[in-house]
Amino acid sequence: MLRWKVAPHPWFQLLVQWALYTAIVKCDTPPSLRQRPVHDQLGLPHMTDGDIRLMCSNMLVASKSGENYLPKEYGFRVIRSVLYWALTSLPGISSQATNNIVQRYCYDVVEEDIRDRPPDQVEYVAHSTGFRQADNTTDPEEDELYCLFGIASGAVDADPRSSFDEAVAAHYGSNLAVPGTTFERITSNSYEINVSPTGRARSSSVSTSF
Amino acid sequence: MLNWKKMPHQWFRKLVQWSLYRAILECDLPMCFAGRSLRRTLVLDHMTNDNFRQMCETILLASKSAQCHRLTGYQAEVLYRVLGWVFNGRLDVVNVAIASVEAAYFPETGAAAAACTFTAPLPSDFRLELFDGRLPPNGIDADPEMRLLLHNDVGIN
Repeated sequence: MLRWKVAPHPWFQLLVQWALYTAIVKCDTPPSLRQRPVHDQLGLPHMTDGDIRLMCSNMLVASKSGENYLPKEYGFRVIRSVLYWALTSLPGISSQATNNIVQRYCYDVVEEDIRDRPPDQVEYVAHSTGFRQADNTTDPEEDELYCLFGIASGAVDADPRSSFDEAVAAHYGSNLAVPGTTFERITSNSYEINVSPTGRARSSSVSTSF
Repeated sequence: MLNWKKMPHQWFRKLVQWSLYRAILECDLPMCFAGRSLRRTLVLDHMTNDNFRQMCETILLASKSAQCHRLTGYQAEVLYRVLGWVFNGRLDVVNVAIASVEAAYFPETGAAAAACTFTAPLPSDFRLELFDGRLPPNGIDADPEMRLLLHNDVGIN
């Protein structure tokens, strides 16, 4: 799974995976539909649609792993953009949903450091972490209601280590790139739709290459 | 491949496959958005969401196969509605695109095909059946055909 500020509830993990799948498929939109480029729609001018697809694929693989993977700041930036994009396409979602999610789950990212440049090679991968995420003491349903629909029923738990750098430094020191623990870049232009976000059993998987 | 009315161009095959992926993904919308259902949007009242997803998968697998597979009437109608959903609201796709695609490629058209969906699909609608005939050649080049069917911004020479 991806490492968030607090341990994610299943609803959030499934939402992130669905949003990443959606972004990947949108990056594969056939030219015949003359779609505006995804990087343009997401406000990521320093990435190509291929870059976004690659990063989303890597994050998706990491999110489905049994181990903890910590994305780089650029990875979090892309995930945030993808989540925002997915949430704004859905009815009934609070206009504050992305902000609520960022507040609850995302580390503070220093946007200035990454806003005006493309991602480095190393920023396409999430790094395996051996450490446990902070507990999420919120009730899953209350958490979902608050984050997506803006219905608050209690105090919001916050990890006192909300800074991305603090959290990383606490566990890695200054050496984030731990050799041998990174995900390989996904170079093939293929993916599978075999998750079951709704909890239904899936008997088949489909892989494609456009 | 599917048994279209004529040999499909690559752009059309990719469009069909991508549309089916979109539909499958829409079926996998997390439970927190359970109020939204593509099956309902497409007025497929006699299918469950699982039926719909399964049928899209079946058609997708057939479309990616090297062998040619015959679409049942139900499958053709589901695919027609999925394509219409994908075209809907796209600024660069003309309103009549789905009708043009239907006329150019779909083996069964019109009210008779739509009537299939007045009842639940049969088990055979979730299976693939090989088509052992040959598709007629496509007499139009890919680019002009795509522009004519989807964008209508150039005629066929």
